[in-house]
Amino acid sequence: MLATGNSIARRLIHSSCRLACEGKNKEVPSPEEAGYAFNHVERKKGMYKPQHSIAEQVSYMKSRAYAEAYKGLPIYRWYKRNIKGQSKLQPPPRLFCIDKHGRFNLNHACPVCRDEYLYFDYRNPSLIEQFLADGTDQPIDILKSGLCREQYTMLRAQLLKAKEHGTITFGVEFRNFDYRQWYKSWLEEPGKPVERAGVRLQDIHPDPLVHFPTFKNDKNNDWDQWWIRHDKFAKKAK
Amino acid sequence: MLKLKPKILSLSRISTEIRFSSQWIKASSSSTSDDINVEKLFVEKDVQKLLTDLTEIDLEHKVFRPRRTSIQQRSHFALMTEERLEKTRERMRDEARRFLQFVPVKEPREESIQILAKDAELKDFDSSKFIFTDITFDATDQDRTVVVREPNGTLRTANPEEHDRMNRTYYQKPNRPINPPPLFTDPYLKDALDKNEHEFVLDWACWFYEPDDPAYVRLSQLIFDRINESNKFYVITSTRHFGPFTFYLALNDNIPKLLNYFGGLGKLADCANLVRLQKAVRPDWRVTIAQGDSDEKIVKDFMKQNGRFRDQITDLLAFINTGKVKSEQELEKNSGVRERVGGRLDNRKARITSANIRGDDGPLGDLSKEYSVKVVKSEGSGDAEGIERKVEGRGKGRWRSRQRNNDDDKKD
Repeated sequence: MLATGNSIARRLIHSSCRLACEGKNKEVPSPEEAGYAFNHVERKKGMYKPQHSIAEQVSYMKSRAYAEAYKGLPIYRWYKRNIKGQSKLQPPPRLFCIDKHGRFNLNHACPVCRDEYLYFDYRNPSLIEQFLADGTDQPIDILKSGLCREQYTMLRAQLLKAKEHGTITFGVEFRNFDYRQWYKSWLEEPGKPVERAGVRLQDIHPDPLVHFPTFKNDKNNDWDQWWIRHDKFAKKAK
Repeated sequence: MLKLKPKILSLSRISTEIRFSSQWIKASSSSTSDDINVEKLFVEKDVQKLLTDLTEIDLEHKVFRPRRTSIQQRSHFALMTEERLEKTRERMRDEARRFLQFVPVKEPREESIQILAKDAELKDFDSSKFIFTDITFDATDQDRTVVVREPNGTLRTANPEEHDRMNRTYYQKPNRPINPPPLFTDPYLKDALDKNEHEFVLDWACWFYEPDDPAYVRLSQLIFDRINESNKFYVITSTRHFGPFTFYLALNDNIPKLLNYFGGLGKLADCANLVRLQKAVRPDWRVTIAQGDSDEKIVKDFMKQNGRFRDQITDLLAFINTGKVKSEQELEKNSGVRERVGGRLDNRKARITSANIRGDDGPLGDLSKEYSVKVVKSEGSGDAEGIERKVEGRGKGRWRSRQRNNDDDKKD
């Protein structure tokens, strides 16, 4: 306990030193010269997740270290949860990977917690976009993303923030105006209301009507014959 | 409640009062007529027709461009005959026309309230206001009764801002949060506009605000001004905001930049329509347009009578004088530079000379780094066409031997 308190204090001093040294206008060094993907905190050996600014995160995601680690794929594609059996039957996602003391709670942290530079922030939309389902503004399923609940909540919160700050754009619902409501002199009826993503090819290009005969399973088989004969004999019997 | 209704009806949206100055007309514009009824002007038939004609329909890149929606959709493929394809395109265009319905141009609404009661005994009952909202089933967003009890005991009807906020609170819609998103204010607005997301911001603003909200009028005018300043007309063409945008420019006598844009694209009909629109919106304007005038004559007349815009409409002038659109002119300019540098005469046929045969400009292009080029002059002809090239590279044995055979044949 004492040791941890000590180390937390040291970490705080360390980070505050860093913050103090770092002026607001200080240039961010290039990832290669900053030595990204290397833990500088000697005694910790990966026990704690270092804190980095958003500018550092953005430049890290453009660096060679990132490209070589993730090979241009979304980061969750390189993550497999350590479970036994089918993925359908996996236990619910863990609550958090990093506990309140800043230590890693488990060995196999989630794809965002395990990378020291990564955390969700609306100013870096490219990380959030990796977790969006194709063509939508909705995040993918939590079990598919492999995130812990804490990070998934952060993802949803920062996604909303990114939308409201305009860093992630989306198709806003189309507002159909009834001009009669807005102008006294307008008498025309409004057209049929439309909605985004409401235009279907089926409506515009309907499939030609082809008649498919219904499949009759009970024909030319024994059962068929059986019932026909049954009718016959049953009638006879009557 | 029933007693309240007739009082509140006077707050309804269609309140036509004579305004002496319109919010849509800027003081800086050279206007003398203050009694223009902007709303009435906007819904006039000929103005609507001109605005609709000016709004082009770009199906692929604008109206039906891919956007992030809330549901996932599959792409569909269909095999069609030419006739069928044309029919389908026409139906898509019909659909697009609905998506291009203009956002109403409205004057900012009145901020008037009615005091219903003053109860001095309720003074300081609480430190904050109490708002009472009618959420019965048949009340619509427009005629819903919202009243406010002030901390000093006054009971009054809600002002439109509070009214809209209560609508947003009790009747939530997706992407319509209770407070306006930070995108509508400047550091973020500027970032979004730098990324050419004008359409997104305007779409969201018209979804979030009512068209007669003062905040909406202010925001849309700000964006329109920035588009006009930065000449980014392509971001707003073929959207539902292009009509109000053009109307706003015409109202403020500010069309030369847009005219220049159309001229640069070679759209003479649009230029003429824009001048016609300006004339329809500002009847006191000096330019006269006869009924049977051709497009070209209208534009030329406009240019003749507005010499002060001469330096703003260079592309249009160039188009009318030379018949060439902006992209062609730029191509020509670039090729002119190349001519001066490389001594190239005919830009359609690339000439291969001994100077460039080994470089990137030669027949091999980028491959010239990989392969070495050997030039052999044939004996029979001494002119420039007689230069033959020999390409030596890795793993091209067959090709090389065939070349060699050809050479031998020629020598024989």
